[in-house]
Amino acid sequence: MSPSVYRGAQAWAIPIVLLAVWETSTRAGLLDPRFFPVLSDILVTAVDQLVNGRLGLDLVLTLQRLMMAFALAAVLGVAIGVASGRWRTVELLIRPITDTLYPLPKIALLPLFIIIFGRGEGAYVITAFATGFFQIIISTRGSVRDVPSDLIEAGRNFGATGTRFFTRLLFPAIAPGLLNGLRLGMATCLITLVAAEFVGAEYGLGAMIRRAGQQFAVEEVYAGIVLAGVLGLLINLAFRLVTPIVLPWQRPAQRAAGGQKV
Amino acid sequence: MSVQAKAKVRLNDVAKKFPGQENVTALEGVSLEVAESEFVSIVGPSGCGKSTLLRLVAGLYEPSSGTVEIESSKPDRPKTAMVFQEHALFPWLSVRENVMFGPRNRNMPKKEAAEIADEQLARLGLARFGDFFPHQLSGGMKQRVGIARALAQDAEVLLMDEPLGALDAQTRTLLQEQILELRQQTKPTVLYITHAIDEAVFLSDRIVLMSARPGRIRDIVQLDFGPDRSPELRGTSEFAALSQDIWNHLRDEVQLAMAVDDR
Ligand SMILES: Nc1ncnc2c1ncn2[C@@H]1O[C@H](COP(=O)(O)OP(=O)(O)OP(=O)(O)O)[C@@H](O)[C@H]1O
Ligand SMILES: [Mg+2]
Repeated sequence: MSPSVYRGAQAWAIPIVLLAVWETSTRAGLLDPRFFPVLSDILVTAVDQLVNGRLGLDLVLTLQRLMMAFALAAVLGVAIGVASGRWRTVELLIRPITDTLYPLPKIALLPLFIIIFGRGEGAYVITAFATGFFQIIISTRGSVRDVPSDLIEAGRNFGATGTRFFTRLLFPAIAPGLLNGLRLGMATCLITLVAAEFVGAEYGLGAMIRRAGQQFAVEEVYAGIVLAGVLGLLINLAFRLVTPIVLPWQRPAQRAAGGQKV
Repeated sequence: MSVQAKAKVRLNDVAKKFPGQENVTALEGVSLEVAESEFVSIVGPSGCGKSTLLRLVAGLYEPSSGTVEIESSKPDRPKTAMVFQEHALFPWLSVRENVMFGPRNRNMPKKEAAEIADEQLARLGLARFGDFFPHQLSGGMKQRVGIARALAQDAEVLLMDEPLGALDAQTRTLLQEQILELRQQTKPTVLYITHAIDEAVFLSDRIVLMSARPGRIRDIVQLDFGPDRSPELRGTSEFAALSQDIWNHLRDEVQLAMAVDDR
């Protein structure tokens, strides 16, 4: 086996074994089917609901809200994070706000947002946005601070001033940390979004799980959970795909090391 | 050094304090002129403010008092180009792109900048490594890329902060000779920091001896070997006597610096 195939197999081994155990043990009746339905039945339900039921609409709405919340959080979070990592005044001004609001569970703001924005899309998008926003500010600020002062001085000495300082020095220098922060930010957007939908929304993955739970439709509950999990997985996979394209200088390292993790 | 050459760098009673809990005074009362095409080395105990001095000349730090002036020969020529003590290469750029970084920031066309970069890389024996990334190079190679990056700027003043400090003895000897050759070919104005006294004697027109913190100029030693000295200089008794003499000057300061650090 080539090293990459081998590592791919390693990454999937445990999930596949767990899923197989689930399938066989539920089929064999070792687990109470009222709580633990057969895996393949869950998947059939999920597909059926997607094609014939409301699940398609739920999923699309969740995706739409996620994308809007994340895009806003990424743009504003990176801008403010860079500014506060770079300029002491900005940092002093926003520090009290980030210190207070970052640990606050944003779901607690949902009732307020519903009062302000009504029961439309706005309230859910803003709640999800608020989570990713603070997370991205904080991780971006950290990445900016961690750039070695030598590199900043070299950049300035070799003429990267004005906007070039940002485009040719700062952003490339923080790119690895930035990508990682965005990945975590998007994941936390999803966490809060599904929770917000669960609490208040009519449609969306979270709402679908709540509806199914109220009707004791266990297979549908599981179908919703599986889809939310797949969404999270896709976020991580997408960032893993993009990383070597955006950070090409990190790839030769792995190549030179013969495909080993470096 | 020709006495009539005009001053390229002029430091006038420069002091540098770093405010903070420690309130370090890194430099005090430093006045120095470096003539055009002169090669001036700075030696002194660790922590006496040598790197700080170079950063002041580069305009990366503002002096707390006093002035730093650099004479420009052409308006668009960069004033300084620095070789950093710990290479400070940009990890996201290839070796060639690192060397092109300065010229590109001056809006030089890509092709021309790449030619200049390849020329400088070849000069330092790195012709094959243009497409490598810094992390794929050895410490000594990185340091040489740092030198190539500074040379590509063709700046008014070349600032070199222990450029050979991290190298093994043989590479260091070879590169000393290359720097000497560079002196002869392009006649740059150089401020050069080193811990190695023999290296300073081998390369310089003048050696500035600095005192322990706060760094002051203790002594300036004039060397009259001229730029056209040959590598054989190292074997002469005059060379050995001068090196010994400078060490005698410096020994007290190094001991003092260590005593201060011990407190
Ligand atoms: N940015 C800074 N902030 C605060 N203190 C600094 C800063 N840069 C240097 N110093 C202090 O100034 C003094 C001189 O530092 P500098 O790096 O110039 O010494 P040096 O002579 O280059 O030492 P070495 O030979 O070990 O490289 C030290 O005490 C150092 O702690
Ligand atoms: Mg130093």
